[in-house]
Amino acid sequence: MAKSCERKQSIKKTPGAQKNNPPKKNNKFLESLLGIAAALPGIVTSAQAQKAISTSPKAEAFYSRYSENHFKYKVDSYATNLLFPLSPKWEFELGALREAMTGASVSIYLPNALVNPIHQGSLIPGTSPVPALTLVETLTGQSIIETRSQVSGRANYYLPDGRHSFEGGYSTENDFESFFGNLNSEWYFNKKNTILFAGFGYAYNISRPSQRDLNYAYTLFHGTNVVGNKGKYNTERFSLGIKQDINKNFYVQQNAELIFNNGDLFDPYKNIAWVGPNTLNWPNTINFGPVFTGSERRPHRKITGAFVTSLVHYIPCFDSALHFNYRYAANTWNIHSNTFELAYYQPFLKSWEITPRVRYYTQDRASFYALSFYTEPSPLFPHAKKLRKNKASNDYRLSNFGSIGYDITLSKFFQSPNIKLSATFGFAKNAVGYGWTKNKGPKNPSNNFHQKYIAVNLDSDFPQKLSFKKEKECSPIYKEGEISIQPLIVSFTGLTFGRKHQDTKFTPLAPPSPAFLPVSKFNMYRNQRGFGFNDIHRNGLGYDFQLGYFLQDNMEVFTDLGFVNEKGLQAPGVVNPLCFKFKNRTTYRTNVGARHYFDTKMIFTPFVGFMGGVEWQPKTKAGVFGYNPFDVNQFLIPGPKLGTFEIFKAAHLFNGALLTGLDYRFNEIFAVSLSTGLYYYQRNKAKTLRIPGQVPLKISDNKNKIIVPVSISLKIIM
Amino acid sequence: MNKKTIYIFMAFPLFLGGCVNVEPWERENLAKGNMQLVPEALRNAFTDHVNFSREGTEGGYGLAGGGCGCN
Repeated sequence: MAKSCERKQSIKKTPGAQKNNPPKKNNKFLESLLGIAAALPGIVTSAQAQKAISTSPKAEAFYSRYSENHFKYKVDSYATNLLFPLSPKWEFELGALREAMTGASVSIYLPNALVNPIHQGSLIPGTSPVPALTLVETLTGQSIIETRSQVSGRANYYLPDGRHSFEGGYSTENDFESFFGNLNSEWYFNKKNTILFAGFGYAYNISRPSQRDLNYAYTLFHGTNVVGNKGKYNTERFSLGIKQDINKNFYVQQNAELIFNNGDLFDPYKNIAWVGPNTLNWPNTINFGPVFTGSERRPHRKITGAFVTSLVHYIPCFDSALHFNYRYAANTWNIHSNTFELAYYQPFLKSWEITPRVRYYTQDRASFYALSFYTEPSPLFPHAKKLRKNKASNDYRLSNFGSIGYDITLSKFFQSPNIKLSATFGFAKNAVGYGWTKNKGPKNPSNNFHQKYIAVNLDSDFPQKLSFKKEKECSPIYKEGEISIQPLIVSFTGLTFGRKHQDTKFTPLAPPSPAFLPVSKFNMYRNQRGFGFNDIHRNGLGYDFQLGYFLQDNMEVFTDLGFVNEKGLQAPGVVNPLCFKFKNRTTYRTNVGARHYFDTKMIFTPFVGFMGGVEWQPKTKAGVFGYNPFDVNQFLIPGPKLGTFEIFKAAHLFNGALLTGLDYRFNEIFAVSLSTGLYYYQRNKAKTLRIPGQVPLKISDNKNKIIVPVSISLKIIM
Repeated sequence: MNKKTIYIFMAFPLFLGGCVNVEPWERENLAKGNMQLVPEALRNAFTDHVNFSREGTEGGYGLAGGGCGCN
């Protein structure tokens, strides 16, 4: 095989590299000088504080998968922060964040006899009967599928003995928007042994509750919809801090923050229940016999004071660092909390670091919090609280509870380029019993759950003068006769940032009358795990193997084998009385294609190409369930299963793509390839579903599609 | 926590600082990455947002961004 010449596209070490790499012993003086200001921790957590102005661009990227056991709540977060030095005094930071959330949320607590008579029977195998008067959670429905996007920019201005920061940003999700701005200043004294911090922040927030989630509690019995209240509130934050070096291994920092929240501070998805007449004319009230329900209400103002003490100590004999934080926070809703955090940073094997952390949090309850309320005392709700005007909530976050969390971070430091790669595994358990305040009445059932998360963080410094030019001219990049193998190409199919699409149409075929059986649109599959993927078809992750051969220099032909995995959705109330649970589906594909690479003077090699081939899509099946009179909207508890039915037949389909991308070749053997393109694929044909005793249902899903996936892979050249 | 306690709390580092004089060439350890108060900003912002969404109090660690945390 012909070999490509050695390509060393190394990135020079930057002077600011001490942030990520433990300093070497033989360069103490220089590093000390460089790190004078870099050692100054700030109160700003929105970006890594670089107290000495950066001499080179920096980038940080973050991914996390967070989940809770109780509500099946999951969040995928992607965040990045880029920092550019603009002049000797100015630098600019750009931040972006994307989150995809799925799961459910607690709406209300009601006596089990009211909420869920089915629960006391045996319709759900393995479910223990719950006493009729026990307050049970009623969720907003397992229908929370939303994304949040946030962008922010920050300019830092450096003084000889200080720094000013100006930040602005915007966050949006389906039901909430936030505009925010922050001003921060730091002043250094006493040979920079003492630093004073001051900050001011303002945020304007608008909530527009999702009608679908709001309706659940109201349609549960009465079939009545409620119009969600649009809420607005603003937040002003004032912070002060002081950091003092105690000796060359130890410093202490104190922060104090005062937060004013003004406006509609209620949670639009939370509802309360009480016994007794509606003497207070509570809004959105529904009468369930002896029990009333209505929207929760909170005071229009909340003032919070938070005080944090941080002790950071370097332990020379182990080259390690010990961090301790204590926070006391209290607000005018009468919640007091104490937080203790301990972290230990231990480097090992020259370029690794391990960091265990532990956190304990405890709070007491808000003055207007209770699990249930009364206007006239009743044995139905023992230990209920008297309902007072404009103040009542059963939000578990306002109750008394405690939380114990642990996490551990493993970090690897690389040089040339200067990169820190970290992985964190975290676990936390919330329990009423962990709190310092004890309960007299029933505990809030929502406060017994655990959280898990895994996070990956990449922190890198670029060269002082960023250059993508090759150090050594090597042409061609790929030579005739070479073989390329891409063992695993991962494709994010469906990189879309718009609103949700609903692509599958369900049309009931009369009789009795189409007018009473409206056409519904739902999606059978979703993948909410990517960069805020929407619920469109083919949003699953794709995995491919490719084998390529270079017919001539820079001209490759290849063959591809792969599959796309799609996660089946639950589709509640497609056509009452039918609900669907679509099975997961895997589509297999094989393609052939060609790529042409262009030699440039840059370290990246662009290419264009095409491919085409066939797909094999197996049968698409779904579990179909009947009507559940206590769950008309949200499909939390399905009715009796009518069976598993074929939705689409198995089929051969055509697909083709125009490709483009960039290769980065590390050395003779390895390269990494990033590609995108226009992918066209056929969809399976429509089918009419005929279930005995039900109205025939025509399912349409045959609109062919063009998508723009993004793929990444490691390439091996032989 | 009364006002007097808060004043003492905030002034505490100043009392400690009166006799402190760490010279610039002695700051190697203070300059290390793991001695920063927030070594990984994005990971820290993530855990802060999780805690903000699940707890009844907030603040003290800095000026955070947006996000409802209602659910």
